[in-house]
Amino acid sequence: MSKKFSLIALIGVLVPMLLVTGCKSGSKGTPTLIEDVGMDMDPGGIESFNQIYHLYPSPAEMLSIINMGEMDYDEQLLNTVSQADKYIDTRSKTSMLGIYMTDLAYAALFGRHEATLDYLEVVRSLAEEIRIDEAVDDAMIEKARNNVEYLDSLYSISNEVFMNILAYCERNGRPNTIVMLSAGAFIESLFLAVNLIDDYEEADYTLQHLADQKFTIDNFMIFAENVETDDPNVAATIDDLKRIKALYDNINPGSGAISITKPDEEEEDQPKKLVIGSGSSQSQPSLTLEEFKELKAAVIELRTKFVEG
Amino acid sequence: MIDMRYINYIKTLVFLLFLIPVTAISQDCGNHHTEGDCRYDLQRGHQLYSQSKSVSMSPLDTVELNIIFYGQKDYILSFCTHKKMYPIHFVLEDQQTGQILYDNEEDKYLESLGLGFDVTKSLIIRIDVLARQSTEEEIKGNLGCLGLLIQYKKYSKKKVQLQM
Repeated sequence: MSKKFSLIALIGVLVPMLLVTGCKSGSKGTPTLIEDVGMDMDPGGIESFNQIYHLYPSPAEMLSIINMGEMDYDEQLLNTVSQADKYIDTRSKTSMLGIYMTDLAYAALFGRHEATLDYLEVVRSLAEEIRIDEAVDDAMIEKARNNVEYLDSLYSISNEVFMNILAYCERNGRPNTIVMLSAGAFIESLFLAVNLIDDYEEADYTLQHLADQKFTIDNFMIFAENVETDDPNVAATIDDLKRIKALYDNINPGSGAISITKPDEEEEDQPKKLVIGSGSSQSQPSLTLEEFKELKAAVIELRTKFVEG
Repeated sequence: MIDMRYINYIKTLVFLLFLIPVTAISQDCGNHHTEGDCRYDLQRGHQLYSQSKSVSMSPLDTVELNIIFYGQKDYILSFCTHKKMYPIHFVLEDQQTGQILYDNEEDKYLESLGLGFDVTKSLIIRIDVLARQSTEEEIKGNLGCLGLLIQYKKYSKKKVQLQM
């Protein structure tokens, strides 16, 4: 009797499962970061999709480009952890989560143990408030505490936090949250970069990095503008970033010319390798002094707006 | 003596499990790039790049990933999918100029590629699967996960002329 019951129960579970998966056969993976631009129908009526994803680096990756070894840690640049309680509405909390994630990455890159843990706690607390706390759990905080002496480990944890939050939002259909927190993270990364440049003439490497963020804002804006939502917070976030985007649209994008070479000696047990180099001295995006000043002013203004809530 | 009803029960269970398409076991593809075959390419001394990505696709689909690669870094790209969907075909295209930089068809659809970037570039990685182990019905009916694992490390001691 109990076996019969088990069999019926099993069929009861499996049949609906088959029906559900059958219904989903036309759906496409993650609901965010996607723009289905093409859909072809073959003569047999089978749909094919062209899925396009516009991706961008994490705050830790953006900051890691800057040579921290040649710069001093400047805690005055960061938004203090004690401010975290003053943000009330969802948009402020979410944008600030992005800002604090960048500050976390900055502290981690400089190996500031205490500050890293403080920012991690703030990130967890804000994540909890906007109900994405599963992405930053106790295990992660504990891992950070146990590895606080290791610079690489702190960096990895700060990067992991960003990736986990994005993945969680994707899985749970929260592209709006991704837009707002990525905007905060991006603006804070730019804010730190522009403030690390004291002298335009001397800052060739950091300045190049700043100009290269043209690629990042291009991808971010395409992603954000393709999020299907009526959420006014998303529209307001996009509006806020339009001024920065317009400034980047007007800089010299460079010719884009490149050279492709294969290393003379391939390393053992490593895959085939290509090296993408600069094709000419004019191939990369570049910022004039005037453009730099204008960008710096716009970034500081927008960052102040975010931070003041 | 084994109870016949028990054997029938097991037979039914096995039959039903075979009915579950690839779709049913691959709907959540979120971590395929770290949990699928790509994991065998994880390298010590490299960091996981945040633009690694996993998606759900059918053999009829094309996936385009527009990815920003920062300069002065070495990357390893590793592609993986469900066993019925191999080989994976990918093309690297310069987003700015439209120039095709690499097509893995010329290397018998290799699944891992090292890339060194002296300068920052935005690339479009266009991916489709040939699904040579699938029947025509499976090609039309199945969805599977596709993962792109990207790992990176900083150039060791590279001297590159930057222009500003």
